[in-house]
Amino acid sequence: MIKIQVRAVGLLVRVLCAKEFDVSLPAGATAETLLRALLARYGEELAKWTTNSEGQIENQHVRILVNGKELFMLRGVDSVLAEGDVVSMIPVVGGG
Amino acid sequence: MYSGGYMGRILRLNLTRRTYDIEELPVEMARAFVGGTGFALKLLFDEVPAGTEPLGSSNKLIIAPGPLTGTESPCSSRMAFAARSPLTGAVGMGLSGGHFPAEIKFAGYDALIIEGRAPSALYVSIDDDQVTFRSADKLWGMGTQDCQLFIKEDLGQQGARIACIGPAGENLSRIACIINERRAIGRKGLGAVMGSKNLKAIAVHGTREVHIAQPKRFGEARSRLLQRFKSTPALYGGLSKVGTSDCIDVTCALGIFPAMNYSQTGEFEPADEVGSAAQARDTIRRVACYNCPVACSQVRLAREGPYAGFLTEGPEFESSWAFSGATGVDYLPALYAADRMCDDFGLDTMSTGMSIAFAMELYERGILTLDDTGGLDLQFGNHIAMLQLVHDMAYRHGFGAILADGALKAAQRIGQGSQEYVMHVKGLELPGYDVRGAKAHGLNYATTYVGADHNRGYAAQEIFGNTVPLAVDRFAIEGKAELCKWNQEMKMALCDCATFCAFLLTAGALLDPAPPGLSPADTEARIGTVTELLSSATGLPFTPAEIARVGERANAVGRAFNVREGFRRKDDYLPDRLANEPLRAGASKGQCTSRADQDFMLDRYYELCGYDKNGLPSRRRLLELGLDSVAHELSDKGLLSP
Repeated sequence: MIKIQVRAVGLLVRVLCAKEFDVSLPAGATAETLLRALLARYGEELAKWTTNSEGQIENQHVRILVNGKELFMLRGVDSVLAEGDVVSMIPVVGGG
Repeated sequence: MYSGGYMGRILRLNLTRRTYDIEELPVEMARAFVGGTGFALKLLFDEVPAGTEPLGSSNKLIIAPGPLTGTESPCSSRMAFAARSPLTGAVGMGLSGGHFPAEIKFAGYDALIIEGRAPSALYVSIDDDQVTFRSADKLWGMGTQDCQLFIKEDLGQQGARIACIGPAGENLSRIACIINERRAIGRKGLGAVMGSKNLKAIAVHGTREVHIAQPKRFGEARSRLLQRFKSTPALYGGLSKVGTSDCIDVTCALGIFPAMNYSQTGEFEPADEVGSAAQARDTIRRVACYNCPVACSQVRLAREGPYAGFLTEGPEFESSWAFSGATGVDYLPALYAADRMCDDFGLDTMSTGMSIAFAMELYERGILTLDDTGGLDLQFGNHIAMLQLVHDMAYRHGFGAILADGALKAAQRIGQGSQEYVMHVKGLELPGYDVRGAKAHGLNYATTYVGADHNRGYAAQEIFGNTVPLAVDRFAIEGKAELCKWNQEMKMALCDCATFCAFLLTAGALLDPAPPGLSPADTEARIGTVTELLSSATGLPFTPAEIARVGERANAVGRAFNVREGFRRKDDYLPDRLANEPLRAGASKGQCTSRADQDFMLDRYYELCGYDKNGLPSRRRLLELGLDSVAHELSDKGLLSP
């Protein structure tokens, strides 16, 4: 097993019920493994931000960083996570 | 000819003579510029010649809602105000929402043009076709909230909508804003333009309806748009719940929440103290603009401590930042107090906060002393001194008089090398995103026609990770000229001209789904719904290609106005600090945007826009855009590249 630290930002703190927490995943887990585990735990409220109408993981409404790097610049949801990785989840919102 | 959307009329007011004329809206202008900012820039270029004194009687104040304003199109109650800016000398253009924009349409107008200077203080009442010039003797000196109440009583018309100035505008502060309801036409000193005209307020009331040319088509397009609202969690799941305060959390997480006048970004990130969760605890209600189902404005009340009782609509993200990150303050009630005071005094929150932040840095560096500040201890974080200065800037009291015209003017007064600490582009203080960690956003600050304004081409792809039109690396400079131009043109065409609230664009709700890409075909595929709304509302057969071109055309007019006033490439750079001082901490640690990086992006941006190396527009591009009269005027002045 590997331990991943999840950091929620802004509105996603409410959805994930904490700013920071650890998730244990099997070795070789990918970003999709993590997100599916979170979806199983947090359900519909998180799905609004992370999945499309077909239930596929997408990044249109949430920005995901792994150790500060954009997930899409790695291997997307297929990116393999490692022990101690920090995964930040940032909502696409508005500012002005 | 248009058969809906537009009211078909422009109201021209002359304050010197106390007269008015109603003119026909030219269909050619509607077709080429759509409305809103497009109209405002076109009229400004045509009617305010080069060298016009911004606070003189020859400057004009132009106000324009869009063709969708006042219709059932959601989030379309927006209007542009424009004049030559007394802060920058460039275009001064700002937008606001609320109910005032729709009321202008209900009164029967697509634009107001205000000329001249009243011999004594007055306000203008526009009630459908009845226009009256009324004494403002009793209103002069009044804060903006009371002013609106008094005018409604004076007119016996509680349904009137009012835009007015506070003491800052009366005192010709070059960072004075205009307030309608509790919203602001904030930046670039347009409040001082009203003050210079002895114009305290404009009250509007109307009874007309905005006709829709093809209701069935319009209704179908509107339904498509509203459906997309539901599948965009940033709207009902985000902006409705916490307004723009979430942006504090996001920018802190990305290490781009500018701190202490941009000197300590990444080292002071008070998201816990002043971010969305903290502000939500003080929220007592929400407010919506006309026909907006999102209702993002949050009304907050300080309930305890020295600022108990201060209620404000907001503070929006930028105002929150200006009175926290910029000044090093992490005491939330002080933000509410500063926001409310600025709104009442009619001061722009962003320029006010950044002017105070500038003074604080000078004080910390020993360039200013207690003797200079009149005894104010201007250490970063001192909210008591910050609030004292908000008051003193509005009234030009003491050291506040030094800061009352913005940071650049203050530096000219203070001297001692202080100009190096002014964070500005074209004289407009920087907004609340440290663009060392967001390169397209920074190129936008550098190149907009109004100076450092985040809203003219907001790079939501970098700030929020928005994947439309494509996902980008926020630290890369490659491809950012293309992205910046795309953002500026989409914002102009869809939000500033049509008009729509900018949040729909940054949240991703305004555009139709399409594959990633920046090509004209990709873009046209994304703007079908907006084009359909515009065409069906107005009866004008707009095409997506035409609407896409409106953004480039209107931005080109803004550029042409500035070129005529002497602005060149030298004015399109970020402050030296952002080029030379890498961020020392936070999630953007190590980032800066060197002069070479800026030149790389600028060269490409100019090439895409058809400018020469010095930033002058080309005759060919202006003619391609149908801007023949603009090309002729610049040509006569020797201001065109071939």
